[in-house]
Amino acid sequence: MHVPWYLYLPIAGSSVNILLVLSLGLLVGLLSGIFGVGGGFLMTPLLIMIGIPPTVAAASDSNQIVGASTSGTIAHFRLGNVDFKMGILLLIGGVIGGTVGVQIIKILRQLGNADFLIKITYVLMLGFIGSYMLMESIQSLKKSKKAVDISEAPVPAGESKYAMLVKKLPFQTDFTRSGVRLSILMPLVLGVFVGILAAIMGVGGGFIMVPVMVYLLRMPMHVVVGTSLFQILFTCIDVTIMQAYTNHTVDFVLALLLLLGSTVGAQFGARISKKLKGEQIKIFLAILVLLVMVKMLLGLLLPPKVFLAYTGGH
Amino acid sequence: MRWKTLCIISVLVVAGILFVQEGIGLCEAGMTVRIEPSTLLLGTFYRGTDIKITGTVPDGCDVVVRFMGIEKELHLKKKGKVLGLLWMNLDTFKFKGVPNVCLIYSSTRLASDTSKAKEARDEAWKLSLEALENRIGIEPEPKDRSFLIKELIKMKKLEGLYLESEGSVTVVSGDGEQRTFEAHVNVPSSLTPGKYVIEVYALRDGRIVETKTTPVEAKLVGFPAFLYNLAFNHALLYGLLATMVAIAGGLLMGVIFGAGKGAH
Repeated sequence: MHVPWYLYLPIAGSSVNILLVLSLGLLVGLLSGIFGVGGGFLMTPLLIMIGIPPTVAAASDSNQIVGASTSGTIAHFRLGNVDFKMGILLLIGGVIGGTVGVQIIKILRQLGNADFLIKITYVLMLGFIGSYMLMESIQSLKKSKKAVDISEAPVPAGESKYAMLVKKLPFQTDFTRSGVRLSILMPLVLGVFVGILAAIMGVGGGFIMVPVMVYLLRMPMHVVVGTSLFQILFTCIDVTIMQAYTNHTVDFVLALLLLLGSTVGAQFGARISKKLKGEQIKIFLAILVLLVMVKMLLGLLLPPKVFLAYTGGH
Repeated sequence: MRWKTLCIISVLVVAGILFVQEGIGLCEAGMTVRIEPSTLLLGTFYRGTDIKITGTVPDGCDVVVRFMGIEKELHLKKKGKVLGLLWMNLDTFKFKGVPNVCLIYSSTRLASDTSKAKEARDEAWKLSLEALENRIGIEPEPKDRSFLIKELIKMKKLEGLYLESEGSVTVVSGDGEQRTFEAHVNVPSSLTPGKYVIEVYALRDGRIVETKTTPVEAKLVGFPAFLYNLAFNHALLYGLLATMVAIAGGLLMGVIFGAGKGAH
Protein backbone atom coordinates (compact mmCIF):
# COMPACT_ATOMS: atom_id res chain seq x y z
CA MET A 1 0.00 0.00 0.00
CA HIS A 2 1.06 3.56 -0.66
CA VAL A 3 2.40 5.16 2.50
CA PRO A 4 1.01 8.69 2.90
CA TRP A 5 4.04 10.79 3.86
CA TYR A 6 2.12 14.02 3.42
CA LEU A 7 -0.59 15.58 5.57
CA TYR A 8 -2.90 18.45 4.64
CA LEU A 9 -2.95 21.24 7.23
CA PRO A 10 -6.45 22.69 7.40
CA ILE A 11 -5.58 26.06 8.96
CA ALA A 12 -2.33 26.65 7.09
CA GLY A 13 -4.12 25.56 3.89
CA SER A 14 -1.09 23.62 2.71
CA SER A 15 0.34 20.13 2.81
CA VAL A 16 3.61 19.10 4.45
CA ASN A 17 5.98 16.16 4.52
CA ILE A 18 5.49 14.35 7.84
CA LEU A 19 9.13 13.25 8.20
CA LEU A 20 10.44 16.75 7.52
CA VAL A 21 8.23 18.33 10.17
CA LEU A 22 9.01 15.59 12.70
CA SER A 23 12.74 16.13 12.32
CA LEU A 24 12.33 19.89 12.56
CA GLY A 25 10.52 19.33 15.86
CA LEU A 26 13.24 17.00 17.10
CA LEU A 27 16.00 19.51 16.34
CA VAL A 28 14.27 22.46 17.99
CA GLY A 29 13.23 20.35 21.02
CA LEU A 30 16.86 19.34 21.44
CA LEU A 31 17.98 22.98 21.48
CA SER A 32 15.29 23.95 23.94
CA GLY A 33 16.24 21.10 26.29
CA ILE A 34 19.93 22.04 26.22
CA PHE A 35 19.68 25.84 26.37
CA GLY A 36 16.28 26.65 27.85
CA VAL A 37 15.15 28.68 24.85
CA GLY A 38 11.83 28.28 23.06
CA GLY A 39 13.36 27.82 19.64
CA GLY A 40 10.88 30.08 17.87
CA PHE A 41 13.78 32.02 16.34
CA LEU A 42 14.68 28.89 14.38
CA MET A 43 11.34 27.17 13.90
CA THR A 44 9.21 30.04 12.58
CA PRO A 45 11.52 30.93 9.65
CA LEU A 46 11.98 27.25 8.79
CA LEU A 47 8.21 26.73 8.71
CA ILE A 48 7.77 29.78 6.50
CA MET A 49 10.43 28.32 4.21
CA ILE A 50 8.38 25.14 3.69
CA GLY A 51 5.33 27.17 2.71
CA ILE A 52 3.42 27.80 5.94
CA PRO A 53 1.94 31.34 6.15
CA PRO A 54 3.97 33.44 8.65
CA THR A 55 1.14 34.08 11.11
CA VAL A 56 0.19 30.40 11.20
CA ALA A 57 3.85 29.41 11.58
CA ALA A 58 4.37 31.62 14.64
CA ALA A 59 1.10 30.65 16.35
CA SER A 60 1.44 26.91 15.74
CA ASP A 61 5.03 27.06 16.91
CA SER A 62 3.96 28.50 20.26
CA ASN A 63 1.46 25.65 20.57
CA GLN A 64 4.31 23.21 19.92
CA ILE A 65 6.57 24.93 22.48
CA VAL A 66 3.91 24.24 25.14
CA GLY A 67 4.54 20.53 24.60
CA ALA A 68 8.31 20.82 24.31
CA SER A 69 8.69 22.98 27.41
CA THR A 70 6.38 20.72 29.45
CA SER A 71 8.60 17.80 28.49
CA GLY A 72 11.78 19.80 29.10
CA THR A 73 10.58 21.19 32.43
CA ILE A 74 9.80 17.68 33.72
CA ALA A 75 13.17 16.38 32.60
CA HIS A 76 14.97 19.29 34.27
CA PHE A 77 12.77 19.04 37.37
CA ARG A 78 13.95 15.44 37.81
CA LEU A 79 17.52 16.71 37.63
CA GLY A 80 16.67 19.33 40.29
CA ASN A 81 17.13 22.19 37.85
CA VAL A 82 13.87 24.13 38.26
CA ASP A 83 13.67 27.02 40.73
CA PHE A 84 9.89 27.41 40.98
CA LYS A 85 10.03 30.37 43.37
CA MET A 86 12.30 32.33 41.06
CA GLY A 87 10.39 31.19 37.99
CA ILE A 88 7.01 32.34 39.31
CA LEU A 89 8.38 35.74 40.37
CA LEU A 90 9.98 36.27 36.95
CA LEU A 91 6.77 35.13 35.30
CA ILE A 92 4.63 37.64 37.22
CA GLY A 93 7.06 40.38 36.23
CA GLY A 94 7.05 39.09 32.65
CA VAL A 95 3.26 39.24 32.35
CA ILE A 96 3.22 42.84 33.64
CA GLY A 97 6.11 43.75 31.35
CA GLY A 98 4.44 42.11 28.35
CA THR A 99 1.28 44.16 28.86
CA VAL A 100 3.29 47.36 29.18
CA GLY A 101 5.40 46.40 26.13
CA VAL A 102 2.34 45.94 23.91
CA GLN A 103 1.26 49.50 24.76
CA ILE A 104 4.74 50.87 24.11
CA ILE A 105 4.85 49.25 20.70
CA LYS A 106 1.49 50.83 19.80
CA ILE A 107 2.93 54.26 20.57
CA LEU A 108 6.16 53.47 18.68
CA ARG A 109 4.19 52.39 15.60
CA GLN A 110 2.23 55.62 15.66
CA LEU A 111 5.49 57.54 15.68
CA GLY A 112 6.53 55.66 12.55
CA ASN A 113 9.77 53.88 11.69
CA ALA A 114 9.17 51.52 14.64
CA ASP A 115 10.17 48.40 12.71
CA PHE A 116 13.49 49.94 11.89
CA LEU A 117 14.26 50.84 15.52
CA ILE A 118 13.13 47.43 16.74
CA LYS A 119 15.25 45.48 14.29
CA ILE A 120 18.35 47.55 14.91
CA THR A 121 17.92 47.32 18.68
CA TYR A 122 17.41 43.58 18.46
CA VAL A 123 20.51 43.04 16.32
CA LEU A 124 22.64 45.22 18.61
CA MET A 125 21.33 43.52 21.73
CA LEU A 126 21.90 40.00 20.39
CA GLY A 127 25.38 41.06 19.33
CA PHE A 128 26.20 42.47 22.74
CA ILE A 129 24.73 39.59 24.76
CA GLY A 130 26.30 36.98 22.48
CA SER A 131 29.81 38.42 22.51
CA TYR A 132 29.75 39.16 26.25
CA MET A 133 28.64 35.62 27.06
CA LEU A 134 31.20 34.12 24.71
CA MET A 135 34.16 36.10 26.08
CA GLU A 136 33.13 35.73 29.71
CA SER A 137 32.62 31.99 29.54
CA ILE A 138 35.85 31.37 27.60
CA GLN A 139 37.74 33.37 30.22
CA SER A 140 36.22 31.54 33.17
CA LEU A 141 36.79 28.21 31.42
CA LYS A 142 40.50 29.09 31.17
CA LYS A 143 40.55 30.13 34.84
CA SER A 144 38.83 26.98 36.02
CA LYS A 145 41.50 24.93 34.28
CA LYS A 146 44.21 26.69 36.26
CA ALA A 147 42.52 26.97 39.63
CA VAL A 148 39.89 24.81 41.23
CA ASP A 149 36.56 26.25 40.26
CA ILE A 150 34.44 26.82 43.35
CA SER A 151 31.34 28.47 42.03
CA GLU A 152 29.62 27.99 38.70
CA ALA A 153 28.39 31.56 38.69
CA PRO A 154 31.22 33.89 37.80
CA VAL A 155 31.69 37.27 39.39
CA PRO A 156 33.26 39.51 36.79
CA ALA A 157 35.50 42.23 38.15
CA GLY A 158 34.08 45.71 38.48
CA GLU A 159 30.65 44.49 39.39
CA SER A 160 31.08 44.74 43.11
CA LYS A 161 29.04 47.94 43.20
CA TYR A 162 26.21 46.03 41.59
CA ALA A 163 26.60 43.29 44.23
CA MET A 164 26.54 45.89 47.04
CA LEU A 165 23.41 47.47 45.62
CA VAL A 166 21.70 44.10 45.34
CA LYS A 167 22.48 43.35 48.98
CA LYS A 168 20.97 46.65 50.14
CA LEU A 169 17.55 46.01 48.56
CA PRO A 170 14.66 45.13 50.92
CA PHE A 171 12.69 41.83 51.10
CA GLN A 172 15.78 39.62 50.96
CA THR A 173 14.94 35.94 50.66
CA ASP A 174 16.67 32.64 49.92
CA PHE A 175 16.29 30.90 46.59
CA THR A 176 17.49 27.47 47.65
CA ARG A 177 17.47 25.77 44.26
CA SER A 178 19.53 28.55 42.73
CA GLY A 179 21.64 28.88 45.86
CA VAL A 180 21.36 32.66 45.94
CA ARG A 181 19.97 35.20 48.42
CA LEU A 182 18.23 38.13 46.74
CA SER A 183 15.49 40.68 47.17
CA ILE A 184 12.09 39.54 45.84
CA LEU A 185 12.09 42.81 43.87
CA MET A 186 15.02 41.66 41.73
CA PRO A 187 13.29 38.89 39.74
CA LEU A 188 10.07 40.90 39.63
CA VAL A 189 11.70 44.00 38.14
CA LEU A 190 13.92 42.02 35.78
CA GLY A 191 10.88 40.01 34.70
CA VAL A 192 9.09 43.25 33.81
CA PHE A 193 12.15 44.38 31.87
CA VAL A 194 12.40 41.16 29.85
CA GLY A 195 8.62 41.13 29.33
CA ILE A 196 8.70 44.62 27.82
CA LEU A 197 11.60 43.74 25.54
CA ALA A 198 10.02 40.44 24.48
CA ALA A 199 6.76 42.18 23.58
CA ILE A 200 8.56 44.86 21.58
CA MET A 201 10.90 42.49 19.78
CA GLY A 202 8.10 40.02 19.17
CA VAL A 203 10.11 37.07 20.43
CA GLY A 204 9.64 34.69 23.34
CA GLY A 205 12.37 36.31 25.38
CA GLY A 206 14.44 33.20 26.15
CA PHE A 207 17.50 34.81 24.58
CA ILE A 208 17.24 37.77 26.93
CA MET A 209 15.92 35.90 29.98
CA VAL A 210 18.71 33.33 30.08
CA PRO A 211 21.56 35.90 30.21
CA VAL A 212 19.60 38.00 32.72
CA MET A 213 19.31 34.99 35.04
CA VAL A 214 22.96 34.10 34.64
CA TYR A 215 24.53 37.54 35.01
CA LEU A 216 22.07 39.65 36.97
CA LEU A 217 20.48 37.02 39.23
CA ARG A 218 23.72 35.00 39.46
CA MET A 219 21.93 31.70 39.06
CA PRO A 220 23.88 28.55 38.09
CA MET A 221 23.56 27.76 34.37
CA HIS A 222 21.80 24.40 34.79
CA VAL A 223 19.10 25.90 37.01
CA VAL A 224 18.74 28.77 34.55
CA VAL A 225 17.91 26.33 31.74
CA GLY A 226 15.25 24.48 33.76
CA THR A 227 13.69 27.64 35.18
CA SER A 228 13.63 29.33 31.79
CA LEU A 229 11.73 26.37 30.31
CA PHE A 230 9.25 26.49 33.18
CA GLN A 231 8.48 30.13 32.36
CA ILE A 232 8.34 29.64 28.59
CA LEU A 233 5.68 26.98 29.20
CA PHE A 234 3.30 29.51 30.72
CA THR A 235 4.04 32.28 28.24
CA CYS A 236 3.31 29.94 25.34
CA ILE A 237 0.08 28.60 26.85
CA ASP A 238 -1.12 32.19 26.98
CA VAL A 239 0.01 32.98 23.42
CA THR A 240 -1.51 29.79 21.97
CA ILE A 241 -4.95 30.37 23.48
CA MET A 242 -4.95 34.05 22.51
CA GLN A 243 -3.86 33.30 18.92
CA ALA A 244 -6.42 30.51 18.51
CA TYR A 245 -9.20 32.68 19.93
CA THR A 246 -8.57 35.99 18.21
CA ASN A 247 -6.70 35.19 14.98
CA HIS A 248 -7.53 31.52 14.23
CA THR A 249 -3.93 30.93 13.28
CA VAL A 250 -3.06 27.82 15.33
CA ASP A 251 -2.82 24.78 13.07
CA PHE A 252 -3.28 21.85 15.38
CA VAL A 253 -2.15 19.19 12.90
CA LEU A 254 1.11 21.07 12.34
CA ALA A 255 1.61 21.66 16.06
CA LEU A 256 0.94 17.99 16.82
CA LEU A 257 3.54 16.81 14.29
CA LEU A 258 6.07 19.30 15.62
CA LEU A 259 5.51 18.41 19.23
CA LEU A 260 5.82 14.68 18.55
CA GLY A 261 9.39 15.49 17.57
CA SER A 262 10.13 18.27 20.02
CA THR A 263 8.94 16.53 23.20
CA VAL A 264 11.35 13.68 22.46
CA GLY A 265 14.07 16.17 21.52
CA ALA A 266 13.60 18.10 24.77
CA GLN A 267 14.20 14.94 26.82
CA PHE A 268 17.45 14.17 25.03
CA GLY A 269 18.36 17.84 25.24
CA ALA A 270 18.02 17.83 29.03
CA ARG A 271 20.29 14.77 29.17
CA ILE A 272 22.92 16.43 27.01
CA SER A 273 22.61 19.60 29.09
CA LYS A 274 23.36 17.57 32.24
CA LYS A 275 26.56 16.21 30.72
CA LEU A 276 27.82 19.66 29.74
CA LYS A 277 29.51 22.10 32.08
CA GLY A 278 27.75 25.40 32.77
CA GLU A 279 30.47 27.23 30.86
CA GLN A 280 30.16 24.97 27.85
CA ILE A 281 26.41 25.56 27.67
CA LYS A 282 27.08 29.28 27.82
CA ILE A 283 29.61 29.12 25.00
CA PHE A 284 27.27 27.16 22.72
CA LEU A 285 24.36 29.46 23.55
CA ALA A 286 26.53 32.50 22.87
CA ILE A 287 27.46 31.09 19.46
CA LEU A 288 23.79 30.40 18.74
CA VAL A 289 22.81 33.94 19.72
CA LEU A 290 25.56 35.36 17.50
CA LEU A 291 24.46 33.18 14.57
CA VAL A 292 20.91 34.47 14.90
CA MET A 293 22.28 37.98 15.00
CA VAL A 294 24.37 37.47 11.85
CA LYS A 295 21.35 35.97 10.07
CA MET A 296 19.22 38.98 10.98
CA LEU A 297 21.95 41.36 9.93
CA LEU A 298 22.35 39.62 6.55
CA GLY A 299 18.58 39.85 6.10
CA LEU A 300 18.92 43.59 6.54
CA LEU A 301 21.99 44.00 4.33
CA LEU A 302 21.34 41.70 1.37
CA PRO A 303 18.90 42.82 -1.32
CA PRO A 304 15.66 40.82 -1.03
CA LYS A 305 14.52 38.26 -3.59
CA VAL A 306 11.10 39.86 -3.78
CA PHE A 307 10.52 43.50 -2.98
CA LEU A 308 7.17 42.87 -1.33
CA ALA A 309 6.27 41.31 2.02
CA TYR A 310 3.04 40.39 3.75
CA THR A 311 2.03 42.66 6.59
CA GLY A 312 1.81 40.92 9.93
CA GLY A 313 -1.65 40.15 11.30
CA HIS A 314 -3.38 40.70 7.97
CA MET B 1 -43.23 51.98 -53.09
CA ARG B 2 -41.83 53.11 -49.83
CA TRP B 3 -43.74 50.45 -47.93
CA LYS B 4 -42.41 47.77 -50.23
CA THR B 5 -38.86 48.91 -49.76
CA LEU B 6 -39.32 49.02 -46.01
CA CYS B 7 -40.74 45.52 -46.01
CA ILE B 8 -37.87 44.15 -48.06
CA ILE B 9 -35.34 45.82 -45.85
CA SER B 10 -37.00 44.47 -42.70
CA VAL B 11 -37.07 40.94 -44.11
CA LEU B 12 -33.42 41.21 -45.03
CA VAL B 13 -32.48 42.50 -41.57
CA VAL B 14 -34.43 39.74 -39.80
CA ALA B 15 -32.89 37.13 -42.06
CA GLY B 16 -29.49 38.63 -41.41
CA ILE B 17 -29.99 38.48 -37.65
CA LEU B 18 -31.19 34.90 -37.88
CA PHE B 19 -28.24 33.97 -40.06
CA VAL B 20 -25.71 35.58 -37.72
CA GLN B 21 -27.29 33.88 -34.71
CA GLU B 22 -27.21 30.61 -36.58
CA GLY B 23 -23.54 31.29 -37.27
CA ILE B 24 -22.79 31.94 -33.60
CA GLY B 25 -24.70 28.81 -32.71
CA LEU B 26 -22.51 26.77 -35.02
CA CYS B 27 -19.39 28.24 -33.44
CA GLU B 28 -20.51 27.33 -29.92
CA ALA B 29 -21.18 23.83 -31.02
CA GLY B 30 -17.58 23.79 -32.21
CA MET B 31 -16.23 23.97 -28.64
CA THR B 32 -16.77 21.35 -26.00
CA VAL B 33 -15.07 21.09 -22.60
CA ARG B 34 -14.84 18.19 -20.18
CA ILE B 35 -13.36 18.60 -16.73
CA GLU B 36 -12.35 15.74 -14.49
CA PRO B 37 -12.75 16.08 -11.48
CA SER B 38 -14.91 19.19 -11.03
CA THR B 39 -14.78 19.02 -7.23
CA LEU B 40 -11.48 19.01 -5.31
CA LEU B 41 -11.62 17.22 -1.98
CA LEU B 42 -9.14 18.51 0.60
CA GLY B 43 -8.87 15.51 2.90
CA THR B 44 -6.21 14.50 5.41
CA PHE B 45 -3.83 13.25 2.74
CA TYR B 46 -4.43 15.91 0.07
CA ARG B 47 -1.16 17.06 -1.49
CA GLY B 48 -2.13 18.72 -4.70
CA THR B 49 -4.01 17.11 -7.53
CA ASP B 50 -4.32 16.98 -11.29
CA ILE B 51 -7.34 18.21 -13.21
CA LYS B 52 -7.70 16.82 -16.71
CA ILE B 53 -9.39 19.07 -19.23
CA THR B 54 -10.30 17.72 -22.64
CA GLY B 55 -12.53 18.94 -25.42
CA THR B 56 -12.79 20.22 -28.95
CA VAL B 57 -12.25 23.62 -30.55
CA PRO B 58 -12.81 24.82 -34.13
CA ASP B 59 -10.02 23.77 -36.45
CA GLY B 60 -7.00 25.99 -36.59
CA CYS B 61 -7.62 27.36 -33.09
CA ASP B 62 -5.12 27.56 -30.28
CA VAL B 63 -6.20 26.79 -26.72
CA VAL B 64 -5.62 28.60 -23.43
CA VAL B 65 -6.73 27.03 -20.14
CA ARG B 66 -6.77 29.10 -16.96
CA PHE B 67 -7.41 27.92 -13.38
CA MET B 68 -8.43 31.04 -11.49
CA GLY B 69 -9.23 31.71 -7.84
CA ILE B 70 -11.43 34.43 -6.45
CA GLU B 71 -10.13 37.98 -6.39
CA LYS B 72 -8.91 39.21 -3.04
CA GLU B 73 -7.51 42.31 -1.45
CA LEU B 74 -3.91 41.98 -0.26
CA HIS B 75 -2.03 44.26 2.13
CA LEU B 76 1.67 44.23 1.28
CA LYS B 77 4.69 46.18 2.36
CA LYS B 78 7.23 47.41 -0.11
CA LYS B 79 10.85 46.80 0.83
CA GLY B 80 13.21 49.68 0.52
CA LYS B 81 16.58 50.90 1.75
CA VAL B 82 16.94 52.86 4.94
CA LEU B 83 20.06 55.00 5.39
CA GLY B 84 21.13 53.69 1.98
CA LEU B 85 22.21 50.42 3.57
CA LEU B 86 19.53 48.42 5.34
CA TRP B 87 16.58 46.68 3.67
CA MET B 88 13.37 47.21 5.59
CA ASN B 89 9.63 46.86 5.04
CA LEU B 90 8.45 50.38 4.36
CA ASP B 91 5.20 51.63 2.79
CA THR B 92 2.05 49.51 2.90
CA PHE B 93 0.02 49.15 -0.28
CA LYS B 94 -3.46 47.74 -0.78
CA PHE B 95 -3.59 45.48 -3.85
CA LYS B 96 -7.15 45.08 -5.11
CA GLY B 97 -8.53 42.36 -7.34
CA VAL B 98 -5.65 39.92 -6.95
CA PRO B 99 -6.72 36.37 -7.89
CA ASN B 100 -5.50 34.07 -5.12
CA VAL B 101 -4.56 31.43 -7.70
CA CYS B 102 -3.81 31.90 -11.40
CA LEU B 103 -2.48 28.96 -13.40
CA ILE B 104 -2.25 29.49 -17.14
CA TYR B 105 -1.63 26.72 -19.68
CA SER B 106 -1.57 27.39 -23.38
CA SER B 107 -0.84 25.69 -26.69
CA THR B 108 0.77 28.84 -28.05
CA ARG B 109 2.81 31.83 -26.99
CA LEU B 110 0.85 34.44 -25.08
CA ALA B 111 3.45 37.18 -25.03
CA SER B 112 3.07 37.86 -28.71
CA ASP B 113 4.72 41.06 -29.75
CA THR B 114 6.41 42.76 -26.86
CA SER B 115 7.50 45.69 -28.98
CA LYS B 116 3.90 46.88 -29.22
CA ALA B 117 2.36 49.11 -26.60
CA LYS B 118 0.32 47.18 -24.03
CA GLU B 119 -2.97 48.65 -25.32
CA ALA B 120 -2.23 47.54 -28.86
CA ARG B 121 -1.41 43.93 -28.02
CA ASP B 122 -3.79 41.19 -29.09
CA GLU B 123 -6.32 39.36 -26.98
CA ALA B 124 -4.00 36.42 -26.36
CA TRP B 125 -1.70 38.65 -24.38
CA LYS B 126 -4.64 39.78 -22.25
CA LEU B 127 -4.86 36.22 -20.93
CA SER B 128 -1.27 36.20 -19.72
CA LEU B 129 0.06 36.74 -16.17
CA GLU B 130 1.65 39.98 -17.32
CA ALA B 131 -1.78 41.31 -18.26
CA LEU B 132 -3.00 40.95 -14.68
CA GLU B 133 -1.60 44.46 -14.41
CA ASN B 134 -4.81 45.71 -16.05
CA ARG B 135 -7.01 44.04 -13.43
CA ILE B 136 -5.11 44.79 -10.25
CA GLY B 137 -5.54 48.12 -8.54
CA ILE B 138 -3.05 49.56 -6.03
CA GLU B 139 -3.85 52.06 -3.27
CA PRO B 140 -2.34 54.53 -2.69
CA GLU B 141 -1.31 54.95 -6.33
CA PRO B 142 2.45 54.16 -6.42
CA LYS B 143 5.02 55.71 -8.68
CA ASP B 144 6.34 52.33 -9.79
CA ARG B 145 3.09 50.49 -10.47
CA SER B 146 4.43 48.08 -13.12
CA PHE B 147 7.36 47.13 -10.90
CA LEU B 148 5.14 46.38 -7.91
CA ILE B 149 2.81 44.19 -9.97
CA LYS B 150 5.80 42.31 -11.38
CA GLU B 151 7.04 41.71 -7.83
CA LEU B 152 3.58 40.54 -6.75
CA ILE B 153 3.50 38.04 -9.62
CA LYS B 154 7.03 36.90 -8.75
CA MET B 155 6.02 36.38 -5.10
CA LYS B 156 2.93 34.38 -6.09
CA LYS B 157 5.02 32.31 -8.52
CA LEU B 158 7.45 31.45 -5.72
CA GLU B 159 4.49 30.36 -3.60
CA GLY B 160 3.43 28.09 -6.46
CA LEU B 161 0.09 29.84 -6.85
CA TYR B 162 0.80 31.56 -10.18
CA LEU B 163 2.06 29.80 -13.25
CA GLU B 164 2.31 30.42 -16.96
CA SER B 165 3.17 27.41 -19.03
CA GLU B 166 3.33 27.86 -22.79
CA GLY B 167 3.01 24.84 -25.04
CA SER B 168 1.57 22.68 -22.28
CA VAL B 169 -1.84 22.18 -23.95
CA THR B 170 -1.68 19.48 -26.62
CA VAL B 171 -3.83 20.04 -29.66
CA VAL B 172 -4.49 17.29 -32.19
CA SER B 173 -5.80 18.21 -35.63
CA GLY B 174 -9.08 16.57 -36.46
CA ASP B 175 -11.45 16.28 -39.39
CA GLY B 176 -10.97 19.75 -40.81
CA GLU B 177 -13.78 21.27 -38.77
CA GLN B 178 -12.70 20.52 -35.23
CA ARG B 179 -9.56 19.66 -33.35
CA THR B 180 -9.26 18.05 -29.94
CA PHE B 181 -7.17 19.34 -27.04
CA GLU B 182 -5.96 18.04 -23.70
CA ALA B 183 -4.60 20.00 -20.74
CA HIS B 184 -3.55 19.09 -17.21
CA VAL B 185 -3.88 21.62 -14.42
CA ASN B 186 -1.49 20.84 -11.56
CA VAL B 187 -3.45 22.16 -8.60
CA PRO B 188 -0.96 23.22 -5.90
CA SER B 189 -0.90 21.56 -2.47
CA SER B 190 -1.25 24.93 -0.79
CA LEU B 191 -4.85 25.39 -1.83
CA THR B 192 -7.40 27.10 0.37
CA PRO B 193 -10.97 25.84 0.25
CA GLY B 194 -13.36 27.90 -1.85
CA LYS B 195 -14.64 28.52 -5.35
CA TYR B 196 -12.43 28.40 -8.44
CA VAL B 197 -13.12 28.51 -12.15
CA ILE B 198 -11.57 26.87 -15.17
CA GLU B 199 -11.67 29.10 -18.24
CA VAL B 200 -11.03 27.63 -21.68
CA TYR B 201 -10.36 29.97 -24.60
CA ALA B 202 -10.18 29.14 -28.28
CA LEU B 203 -7.91 31.59 -30.10
CA ARG B 204 -7.37 32.24 -33.77
CA ASP B 205 -4.57 34.58 -34.85
CA GLY B 206 -4.40 36.04 -31.35
CA ARG B 207 -8.14 36.73 -31.18
CA ILE B 208 -10.54 35.02 -28.80
CA VAL B 209 -13.04 33.04 -30.86
CA GLU B 210 -14.80 31.22 -28.07
CA THR B 211 -14.82 31.00 -24.30
CA LYS B 212 -16.17 28.54 -21.78
CA THR B 213 -16.06 28.94 -18.00
CA THR B 214 -16.68 26.04 -15.63
CA PRO B 215 -16.87 26.41 -11.82
CA VAL B 216 -14.70 24.10 -9.68
CA GLU B 217 -15.09 23.86 -5.95
CA ALA B 218 -12.40 22.95 -3.44
CA LYS B 219 -13.87 21.77 -0.16
CA LEU B 220 -12.52 20.38 3.05
CA VAL B 221 -13.62 16.88 3.94
CA GLY B 222 -12.99 14.49 6.82
CA PHE B 223 -10.65 15.47 9.65
CA PRO B 224 -9.44 18.80 8.15
CA ALA B 225 -13.10 19.88 7.76
CA PHE B 226 -13.78 18.96 11.39
CA LEU B 227 -10.74 20.89 12.69
CA TYR B 228 -11.39 23.92 10.50
CA ASN B 229 -14.94 24.15 11.84
CA LEU B 230 -13.68 23.80 15.41
CA ALA B 231 -10.99 26.47 14.94
CA PHE B 232 -13.33 29.06 13.44
CA ASN B 233 -16.63 28.36 15.16
CA HIS B 234 -15.43 27.22 18.60
CA ALA B 235 -12.17 29.14 18.80
CA LEU B 236 -11.74 29.20 22.57
CA LEU B 237 -12.46 25.49 22.96
CA TYR B 238 -10.05 24.79 20.09
CA GLY B 239 -7.30 26.87 21.73
CA LEU B 240 -7.80 25.17 25.09
CA LEU B 241 -7.82 21.69 23.51
CA ALA B 242 -4.68 22.45 21.48
CA THR B 243 -2.90 23.57 24.66
CA MET B 244 -4.06 20.62 26.71
CA VAL B 245 -3.03 18.09 24.09
CA ALA B 246 0.41 19.74 23.95
CA ILE B 247 0.78 19.60 27.76
CA ALA B 248 -0.45 15.98 27.81
CA GLY B 249 2.06 15.14 25.08
CA GLY B 250 4.87 16.73 27.07
CA LEU B 251 3.82 14.95 30.27
CA LEU B 252 3.55 11.62 28.47
CA MET B 253 7.04 11.98 27.05
CA GLY B 254 8.30 12.95 30.50
CA VAL B 255 6.76 9.81 32.03
CA ILE B 256 8.04 7.52 29.27
CA PHE B 257 11.58 8.84 29.50
CA GLY B 258 11.40 9.07 33.29
CA ALA B 259 10.36 5.44 33.52
CA GLY B 260 13.17 4.45 31.18
CA LYS B 261 15.63 6.25 33.41
CA GLY B 262 14.18 4.66 36.57
CA ALA B 263 14.80 1.21 35.14
CA HIS B 264 18.52 1.90 34.86
